[in-house]
Amino acid sequence: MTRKREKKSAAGFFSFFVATLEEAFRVKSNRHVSSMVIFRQILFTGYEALPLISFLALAIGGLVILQGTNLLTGFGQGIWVHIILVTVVVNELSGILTALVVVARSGTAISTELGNMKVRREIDLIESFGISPISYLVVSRVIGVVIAMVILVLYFNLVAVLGGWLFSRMFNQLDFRTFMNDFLAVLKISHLVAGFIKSVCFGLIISIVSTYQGMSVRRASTEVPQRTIKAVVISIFAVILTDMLITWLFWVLR
Amino acid sequence: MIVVFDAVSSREGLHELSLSLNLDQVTQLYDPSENISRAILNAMVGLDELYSGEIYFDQTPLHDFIQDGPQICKVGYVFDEGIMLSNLSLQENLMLPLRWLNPHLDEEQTGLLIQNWMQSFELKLDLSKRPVAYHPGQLKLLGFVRTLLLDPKVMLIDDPFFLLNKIERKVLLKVLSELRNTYPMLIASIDDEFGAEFADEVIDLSSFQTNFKLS
Repeated sequence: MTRKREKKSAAGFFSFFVATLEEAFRVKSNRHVSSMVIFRQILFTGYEALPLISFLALAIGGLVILQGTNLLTGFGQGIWVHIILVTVVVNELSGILTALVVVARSGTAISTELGNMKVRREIDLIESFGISPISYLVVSRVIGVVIAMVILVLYFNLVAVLGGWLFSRMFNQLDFRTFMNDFLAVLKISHLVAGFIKSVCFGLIISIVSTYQGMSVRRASTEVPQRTIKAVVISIFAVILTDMLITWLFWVLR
Repeated sequence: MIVVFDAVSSREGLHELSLSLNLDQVTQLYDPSENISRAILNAMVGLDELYSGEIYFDQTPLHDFIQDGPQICKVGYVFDEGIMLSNLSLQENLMLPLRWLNPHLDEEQTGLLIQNWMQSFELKLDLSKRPVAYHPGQLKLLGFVRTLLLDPKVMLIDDPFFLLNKIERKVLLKVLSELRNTYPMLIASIDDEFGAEFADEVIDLSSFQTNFKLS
């Protein structure tokens, strides 16, 4: 009459992933309750991360322009610095750095919160009501993190471009319109599509890995930090691997 | 309501455990280890999966019984600790199962109902606060309020006196005495005082306490 031993590792994660997707399709039926959890998650993951993302994006955009200008003007190719901004920041760094911020803030928070809920038997309480914890706790967080991630990556790109322009002004009196014209001439739709797909995938990975690790805590509070560390490490690995895969796919398909 | 644990455990005496839960009859599970009684209550709400056998509610298997309509209106479970979701206010905690059940909940009417139950339990709490603002005994009584708001068919209560002081125990006994004609109750408790004052039938599980697992 005791709990069945939980399935370990990959099989357990896969069945959790499938259950989350199944519940995600049913989220509409209980949106009157889930919408508040989703909203709070967007607020925490997205809105409250804006200062850090702004600082990072401004600095990265500026540094890329700074290093690029230094490097390329030596060859008389200073105008190609925008290509570096698009290739390095829009294509790669915005997604990865935002994902790292989301892992550090929200991934750890989700894993710890759910782990503590498990220890305090709050998950049992929800189950005793006949409410699926995956539907109420996991799906709402996954949706919230994915939406926040897409918005944050877009925001990162905008601020990084602004940072790039601000630093450009320090070296040559480039007005904003000219800078943007050069930038947009290099930017392609495929860059934006790839960025969007990456941000959705990263959001999914971070939220599902973190919720899975949080829900995998059993009874001991000492498991909570261990699971949180696992959530961070696995999320970072998975994000980098997915980034490489998507970049490779777009490179093949171009 | 007859609840039968059919071949859930291989242990003699628990192999075909039958519980008769009727109005005006309170059944107490006496289990010094507290593991078996808790496992029985957990299994009846579907919290613990069964290794073997089946639980029948009036000859309906547990899974069908739970699936046939909202589970929360059938089995009301009061945990031994006053468990509340710590990230929600007390009001949100009380409303969560009701809101989940009914998207068009009449909040005003429910608010009045909550106030009535809180008066019965002599609770004076600011429901806009988070659970951490109050002591465990008050949260435990609020757990009773939350379960009663759902108007379940049967109430399962795990260690009712746990965390309560003497005054709160008296209040709880008074309310439960008033409710014994309204809800069949199955109560897991090792409290002799409770057994003597309140229970009609005591099922002694102490001879099965050697092993946590029933199967």
